[in-house]
Amino acid sequence: MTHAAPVRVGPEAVPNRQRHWFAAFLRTRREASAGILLLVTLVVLSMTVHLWADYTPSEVAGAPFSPPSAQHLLGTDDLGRDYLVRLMTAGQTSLGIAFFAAALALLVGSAIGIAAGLRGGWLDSWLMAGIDLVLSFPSLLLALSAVTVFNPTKTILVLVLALIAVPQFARVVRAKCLELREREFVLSARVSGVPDPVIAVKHLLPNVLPLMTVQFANTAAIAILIESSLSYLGLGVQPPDPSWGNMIYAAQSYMIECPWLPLGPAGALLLASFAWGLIGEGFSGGSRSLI
Amino acid sequence: MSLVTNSRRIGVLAASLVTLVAAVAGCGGSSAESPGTTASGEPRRGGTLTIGEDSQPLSGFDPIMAQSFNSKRMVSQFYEGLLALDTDLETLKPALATEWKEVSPTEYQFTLRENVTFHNGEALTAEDVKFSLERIVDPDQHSPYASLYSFESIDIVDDKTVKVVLSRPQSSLLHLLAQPWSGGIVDKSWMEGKDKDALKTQENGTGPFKLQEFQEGSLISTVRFDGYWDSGLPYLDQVNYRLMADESTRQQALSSGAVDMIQTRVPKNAEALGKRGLQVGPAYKLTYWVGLDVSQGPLANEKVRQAISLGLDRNQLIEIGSQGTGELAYTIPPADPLGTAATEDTPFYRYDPEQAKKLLAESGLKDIKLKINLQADNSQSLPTAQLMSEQLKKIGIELQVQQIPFATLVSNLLSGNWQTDMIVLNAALNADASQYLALWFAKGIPSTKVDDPKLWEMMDEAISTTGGNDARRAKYQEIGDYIAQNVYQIVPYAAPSQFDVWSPKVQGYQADATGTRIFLKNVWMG
Amino acid sequence: MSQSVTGASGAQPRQRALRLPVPPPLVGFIIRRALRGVIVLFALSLLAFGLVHLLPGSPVDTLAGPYSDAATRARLTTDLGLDKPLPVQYVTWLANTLSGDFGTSVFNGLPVRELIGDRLPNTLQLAVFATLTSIAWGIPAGALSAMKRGRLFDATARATTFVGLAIPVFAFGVALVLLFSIAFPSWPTLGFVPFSQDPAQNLQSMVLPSIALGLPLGSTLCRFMRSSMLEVYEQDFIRTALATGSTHLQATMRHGLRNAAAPVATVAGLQMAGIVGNSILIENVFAIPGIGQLTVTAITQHDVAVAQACILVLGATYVVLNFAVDLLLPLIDPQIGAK
Repeated sequence: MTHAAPVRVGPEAVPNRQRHWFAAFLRTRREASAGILLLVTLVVLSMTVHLWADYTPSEVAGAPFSPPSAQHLLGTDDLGRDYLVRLMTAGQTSLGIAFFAAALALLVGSAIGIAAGLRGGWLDSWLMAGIDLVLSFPSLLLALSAVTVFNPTKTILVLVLALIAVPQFARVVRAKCLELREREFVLSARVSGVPDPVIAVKHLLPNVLPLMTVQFANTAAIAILIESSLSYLGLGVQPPDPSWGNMIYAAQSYMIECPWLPLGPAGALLLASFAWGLIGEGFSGGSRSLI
Repeated sequence: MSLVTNSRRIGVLAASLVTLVAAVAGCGGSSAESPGTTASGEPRRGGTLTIGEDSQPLSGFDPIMAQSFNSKRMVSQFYEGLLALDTDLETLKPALATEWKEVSPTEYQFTLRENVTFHNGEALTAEDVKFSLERIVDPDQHSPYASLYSFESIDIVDDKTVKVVLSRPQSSLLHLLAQPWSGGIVDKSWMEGKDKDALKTQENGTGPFKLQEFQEGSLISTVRFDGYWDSGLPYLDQVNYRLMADESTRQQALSSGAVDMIQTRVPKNAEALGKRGLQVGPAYKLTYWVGLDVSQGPLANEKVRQAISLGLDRNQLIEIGSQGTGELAYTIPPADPLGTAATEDTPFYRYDPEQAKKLLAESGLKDIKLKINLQADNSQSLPTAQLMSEQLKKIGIELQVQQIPFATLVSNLLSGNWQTDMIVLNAALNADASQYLALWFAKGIPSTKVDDPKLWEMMDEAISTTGGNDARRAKYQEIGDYIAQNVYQIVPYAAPSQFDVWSPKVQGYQADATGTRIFLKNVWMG
Repeated sequence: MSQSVTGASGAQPRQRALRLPVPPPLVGFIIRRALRGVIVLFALSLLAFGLVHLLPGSPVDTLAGPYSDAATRARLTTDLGLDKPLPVQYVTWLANTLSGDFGTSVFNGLPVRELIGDRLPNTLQLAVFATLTSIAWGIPAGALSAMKRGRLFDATARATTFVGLAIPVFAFGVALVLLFSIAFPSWPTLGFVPFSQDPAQNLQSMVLPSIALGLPLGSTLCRFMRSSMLEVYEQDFIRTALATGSTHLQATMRHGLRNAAAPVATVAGLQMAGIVGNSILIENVFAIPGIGQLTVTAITQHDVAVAQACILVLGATYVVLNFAVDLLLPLIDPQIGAK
C-alpha cells in the first residue's frame, strides 16, 4: 500500500547488451543481492521444512507455551506445536500466495500494458479508463469486498491480490511502451510490416523486462502485506492453515504472557516484505529519488 | 397434529441451540469447593464499579431477545422475573412475585410484590405481567424463548394476582420465569409506544441498575435505581461497562487498576492474573460437543464411531485443548443442575489406540477421511479440533478441520444438510436438561441424525420423571452412558468458556454459573 | 512559490497561450477529474449494492433467523423490497442512501447513519493524528538526512524508513502494544475513550495508534523529503546562495525547505488517502470504534446495511481525497494541469 514509490528504471534499451544484466545486477547491486539472499533463504527454509525439522507442523512436540529454547528455537504455541516449524509452514502459504499473485499480475498487467501502449487509440483509452477505475478504490477495501462474497480460499486470495496489482503493472508497462513506440527500432519494424504481436515479443518485451522485474518485486511485497492483513482480520487464509497474518491474530490473546508468539510471525513478515522491497529497490537502478 | 408437534419441536431445538451456542457460550453449575465470592467487612453504599467488557450487547436490551452473554449481562441488571434464582441457581427466591403456588400441574398462581416501580416511575401491575408473558410467546416477537413455554392463558385474578394456565405440565416453568432474560417483566404502557429497534438501546425495567448512557462502541453507563424494591440494595452508585475487545488490553486494564473487573476467555491468562493477586471466579464447565452424522458415511458404522471414541486421548485434550481446565463429561454439561460428570469407565472413554485400530479393521473400512466443521469466530474451539485431528491420525483416520461462519453452521445443522461428518458446538447453560438432548437427538426433526426408538423412549421417560432432581439426574446419567455406548456423539470434555476476574477492592461479588453477573447488586467497593 | 520548481517552466506560458480560446487546460483537467470521480462513485455504489445480492444466502435469512417460518420470510422479502426487479431496487436504495437513510443495523437496531456518525469522528481523529505524527518525524528526518547525506544519521533514517515501509501496520501495532505493556505494566489503559467522554484519556489512548499509523506514512514522507531536498541542492539558487556566503544551514532553510514543500505536500495528500485502508487495520488492532472496525465487524457478521454503508463511505472518502489531491497538483505544479 505504502510501497508504491515511483519507479524509474536504469538500464536503457539496448537489447543485445542485456544478456547478462541479471548477473551484472548481482555484482553491482548490493541491495538486490541482499534481498535475493534473504528471500531465497526464507523460501528454501519454508519449502524444505519437512526435510530438516524434527516435528511436523501439527504434532504436539512439547509442553504448550514453552518459551524459546534449544529444543524449540522459537518456543511452542498453545497446543505445544513447534513454533519455528509452524512459522515456516505458514511461510509456504504466505510467500506462495504473494508470489503467484505477483506472477499473475505480471502476466495480465504486462499484456494489458503492452497492448495499450503499442496499439494506442480507443483500445488504450478504454483499457486505461478501466484501470483508473480499479485504482480509484482503496485496495484493502476491494479485497475485503471480494472475500466477503467469495469464500477466501487460497486461489481466491491469489486472484484478488492479482486484481489489485494489475492496474499498477499495466500503467507502468504502458508508459514505457508509449515511449518505446516512438523509438527508431520499433518504428522501423512497424514500417517494414512486422505484425504487432511479434513487435511486442521481440522488441518491447526485452526492454520492459527490467521494469517488470522491479514491479514484480514491489507487487510481491505489497501482496504479502495485504494477504497478511486480510488473514489478520480473519478474512484471508483460514485456520487451521497457518499464515503469518492469522498466526499474529491467534497470538494476540496470549501476547502478554507469551510475547514470542506474536513476534515470530511479525518478524517473518517483516523479513519477507523487506527482502522483496530490497529486490525491487536494487533492480530499480538506484535512482536517486528512491534514496 | 403431528405437524404442530414437529414445528414446536423445531422451535424448541432452535431456541435451545441459539441460547446454547450464542457466540461466547454460557456457564453453568457449580463446583462446590470454590464459592467464588469475596467479602470482608460490612457492605457500604456508594462507589463506582468499572468493568472491562469484551463485547457490547449483540441483540440490545430487550430481555426476551437476549441470547448472547453480552446481552444477558446487561438485561440481568435492568430487568427481573417474577422469581429469582438463588446463588446455587437451583433454589427459587421471590422477586417481583412474593408468593407462588402450584394449583395443579398445569396451573400456577403468583402474588405480586407491593410498591414495585419501573425505572420511569410507573408502578408494576398485573397488566404488565400478563403483557410481558404473552409478549414472550407472541410469534411476531420471534423470541428464542417462546417455544420453551406452553402457556394456555395468562389471567388476571385481581390487581395483585396473576394466574398462569399451561397446556401441559412443564417442570421448567418456574426456572424460566426466574431468569431475567427468559422471564423479564416489562412495562406495558412504555413498551407499547416503542418500536422494536428502540428496545435495543433503551430499557425500562424494575432491576437494581438503570441505563444512564449508551455510547455505542465504547461505554455503557448504568446508575443505581433509587426506587429499587429490595431496600438498601444495590450498594453501588454506578457501574460502567467499558468496551475492550482486546484480551490483552483488558488484562492490562485490570492489572493497572484502570478497571475493577473483566472476563478472560483464556485459562492461561486467568491463571497469570490470579498469581498477581487478582480474584478469579470459579470455572463453570460446559460441554464441548462434537455432533456426529451417524446417518451416512463412515460414521454410520458403529465400529468406526467406537474406534474414534477410543482413539481420542481425552486426557491430552483436557490437558492441552482446554489448557487443563476441563473434565470428562456427557452431553449434558456437568454444570447443569441435572448434569453429572463422566469417568474413564464411561463406555469407550478410556484411551486405547490398539483397540481402536482393531475395531477399525473389523469395520472393513479403509482410508477413512472425515470432515469436522466449527464456528469461525470462536478461536477457543479450534485447538481442540486440531488436536483431535492429530490424535485420530495415529489410528489411521484423517480428520479435516474447517471453520465456517456461525450462521452457516447453524443453518446447516438445523436443515439437516450438515455438509460435514462432525459439527462442533459449545454448550451454554440451559433452562432444562432435556433441551441439550433435544438439540441433537429429538425425534422427527431434520437435524436429528440418530434413528433409535430406544433413545427417544429414554428421553421421554426422563422428562416425565418426577420425584426430585436426584431421580432425574440418575435418568440422565443413564442416557449419557447409552449415548456413549453407541457413540452417537463425541464429548471430548467440558470446560469453562470464560472466567470472571476482579480486583480485591470489589467486595461481595458472586460469580455465577450463568456468567451474567446476576448478583451484582450485592457488590460494594472496599 | 510554485514557480521554478523544475527547469521546465519556460515552456509553460507558450503552451497556455496557444490553447486559451478553448477552455483553459486547467479547467478541462478539473472537469475531467471530476467526471472520473462521479463515474467512480457510481461504480462504488454498484459494488456496495451488489454485495447484498452476491452474498451467499439472502438478507432475509439473516433478518428472520434460522427458526422463522415461510410467512415471515415472505413478509420480510416484501418489506425489504427484494421482490422487485434489481434496477428498481438499486434506484430505491440509492435514493434512500443519498437522502441520508442508510437503513438499520440488523444486530443492534441502530440506524446506520447514527452508527457511522458516532464512529466517523474517531476515524478522523486517528487520521489527523497519524498524519501529524508522520509529518512531525518524516519531514525533519528527511531534511536532516539530505543535509547529512551518507552519514550515520542518514543511514539510520533510511533503515527506519525501509522497515516502516516493509512492516504491515497491524503487526507493528501489535508489537507496539506488546512493548508498551512490558515497559509500562502499570499504565492505566482503558482501551479507547472518545474525546467527548474524557479528553485526557482519549489523548492517551491515541498515542500508540498514531505512532503505529504514522511510522509507515512518515517513512514515505521522509524518503520524498530527502530526495526533493537533494534535487534542490543541485540547483543554481542554492549554489548561488552558498557562493554568496550563506551557511549550508541558512541556505537549506531559506531555499531548500521551501522548494521541497510542493512535492512533499503532494505526497502527504496522497498518503491521507492511504490512511483509509490502513485505518481498518489499526482500528482492529487497538479496538478503536471507527469506521474501519465497523466495516470488518459488519462484513464478518453479514450485517448487510452497515457493510454497504461503510464501503460506500470509505470508498467515497478515498475518491474525494484523491480528487482534492488532483486539484491541488496543478496549483502546486502548473505543468501537471497542462499535461
